[in-house]
Amino acid sequence: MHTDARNIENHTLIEGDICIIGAGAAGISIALEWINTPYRVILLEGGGFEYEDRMQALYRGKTTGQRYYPLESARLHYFGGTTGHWAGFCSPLDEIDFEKRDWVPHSGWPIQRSDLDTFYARAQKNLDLGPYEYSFPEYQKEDKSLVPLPFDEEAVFNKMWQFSPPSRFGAKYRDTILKAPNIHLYTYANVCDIGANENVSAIKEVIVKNFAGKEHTVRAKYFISACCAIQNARLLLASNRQAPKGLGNDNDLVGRFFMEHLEIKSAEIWFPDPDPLKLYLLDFGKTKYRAELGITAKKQEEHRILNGTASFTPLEIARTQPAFIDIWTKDQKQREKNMSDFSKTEDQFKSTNRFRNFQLFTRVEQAPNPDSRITLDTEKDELGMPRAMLHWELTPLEKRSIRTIYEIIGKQAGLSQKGRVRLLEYLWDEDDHSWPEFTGGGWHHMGTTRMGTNPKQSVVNADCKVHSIDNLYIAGSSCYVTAGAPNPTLTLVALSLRLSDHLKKRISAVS
Amino acid sequence: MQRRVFVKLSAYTAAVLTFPLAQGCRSGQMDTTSQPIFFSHLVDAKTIAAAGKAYLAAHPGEKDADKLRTMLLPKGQSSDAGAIGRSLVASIASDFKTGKTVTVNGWVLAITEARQCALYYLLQS
Repeated sequence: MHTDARNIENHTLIEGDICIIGAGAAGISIALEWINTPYRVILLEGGGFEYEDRMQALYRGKTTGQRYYPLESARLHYFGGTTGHWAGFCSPLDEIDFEKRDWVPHSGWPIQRSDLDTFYARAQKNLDLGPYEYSFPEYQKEDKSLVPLPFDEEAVFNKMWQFSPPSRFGAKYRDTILKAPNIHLYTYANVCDIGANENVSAIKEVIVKNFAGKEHTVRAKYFISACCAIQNARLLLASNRQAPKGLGNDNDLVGRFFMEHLEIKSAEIWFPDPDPLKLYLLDFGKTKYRAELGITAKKQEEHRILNGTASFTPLEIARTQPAFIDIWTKDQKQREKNMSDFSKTEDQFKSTNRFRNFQLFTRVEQAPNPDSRITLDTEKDELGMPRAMLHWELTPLEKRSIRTIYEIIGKQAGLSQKGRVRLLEYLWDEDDHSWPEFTGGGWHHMGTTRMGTNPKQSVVNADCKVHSIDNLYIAGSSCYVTAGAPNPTLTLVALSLRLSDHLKKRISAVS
Repeated sequence: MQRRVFVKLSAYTAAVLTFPLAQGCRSGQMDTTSQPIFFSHLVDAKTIAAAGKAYLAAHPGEKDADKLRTMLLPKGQSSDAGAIGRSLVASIASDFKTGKTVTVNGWVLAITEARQCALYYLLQS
């Protein structure tokens, strides 16, 4: 079922068993799980079914610290969310990503990778991926032409990725959601406030608003905030009528530990002979899987570094490409032109696969950092909600990790007599902790409502429930404790499916 | 794999010994010891010299051609160019295996080939 919240009587009371706030990858994945159950699910989407500048402007916000993309362009605010423009890169987190690492402050999830494996397998289907298989030898069994670089697997391994078409959740799941008798989607229903009971131990209702000037109330037994890492934090912080510091924020943790993936050109690898590198190169839209060079857990521990991977782009192509941070402008038309120009440079290498030299591009986790955070601005958006502000702050560990990753790969290149690696100049001086202008992120927002067992160190528990609030859950990458190297979508869908299963057990036990 | 690498390196050795490092070299001054075989197949002489200069800036105590030769070649090393080339290739492989690497001008090199670059720089300057 679907209702446009602009077209119903003002101050309508909407009621259900479950209220999901946000219809992106997390929210839609959860909603799909509840189809044909005896429960009434309210799915709230702030936007409509298409991109709108006015709606997108609700995500505008200031940024300080490390240079960052315009916030209103980093997430999409309509049905399907950011799957409307994601690139489809998928790979699970590694086991080490969940572990407490004494060299990574604030690391350690309350769950293990094995707790997510069954959910990863299910998430693969939501994202139109292949079987849940990320072990390189299994791929090589199918395709003997996938030749790995002859590196010591104890040091550098082939971290496999699968590529979603990419699935656009808005188009793919719209009819399924609309036809589901027990799922009621409300579009143009921006949640601007969450109301709790008297002692703020449970959520009573949420208030939704839209540009038609309508305001409605939604009541449910359970609420799931699935708005993305910045908006989840913003919503909790802005819901401060009853809890002055914001909901779930008794310990001043909501919004802190904002994490991105640093995605940055870092080194070059030079070979004496051309190498097609079939296993490692990407032909966007066609490649179903590829490898990046990953650093083994053993080496990460030995060098006390963060987890990261390296991908390859032919050097003569890479040198013509501007950095993502310069491409991704505020103006959508300019951004589209920049992206189109970028794609043209990539098309050049499709005509040949005989390159000798390649740029090595890093994708590395950001160390959890309480000072890297989302806060509220005094400025409000058009619906009267305080805007989010991002202070993105990196630490010396990220830069040392990148440098070390390429020293490890460089040694493997030398040891195997395959080639030589050259670090880019910004990595030469070990005492220089500054970042070059072209430093950017992957548009991946994580960690603002981190998971943990201790309410003094985390916002949600291992089931993604806000510690101090009995019926409020958070879905998505805001629950991440650490970021790992892979893009977050596969893991956030897996985590959402896990949350959904937990809630099903809970609600059926109560029923 | 080992054999393939050996054959390839032998080919490089032969090529380098036949065609000493290129542009900017003063004839007569260059020798096998100052020619990082594998690296010279990737980059030009200018890059090798720059790496050598950077290495010496970080290791000023080695800024002496004779000293570098002593460090690069084992005692009793045959003066045969082919034998020297093979010995240096073996040293480079050993350096990478034992972690004796150094980063100069961003290049992750075996200490042996970094010293060869340094020697090359001293001889051509």
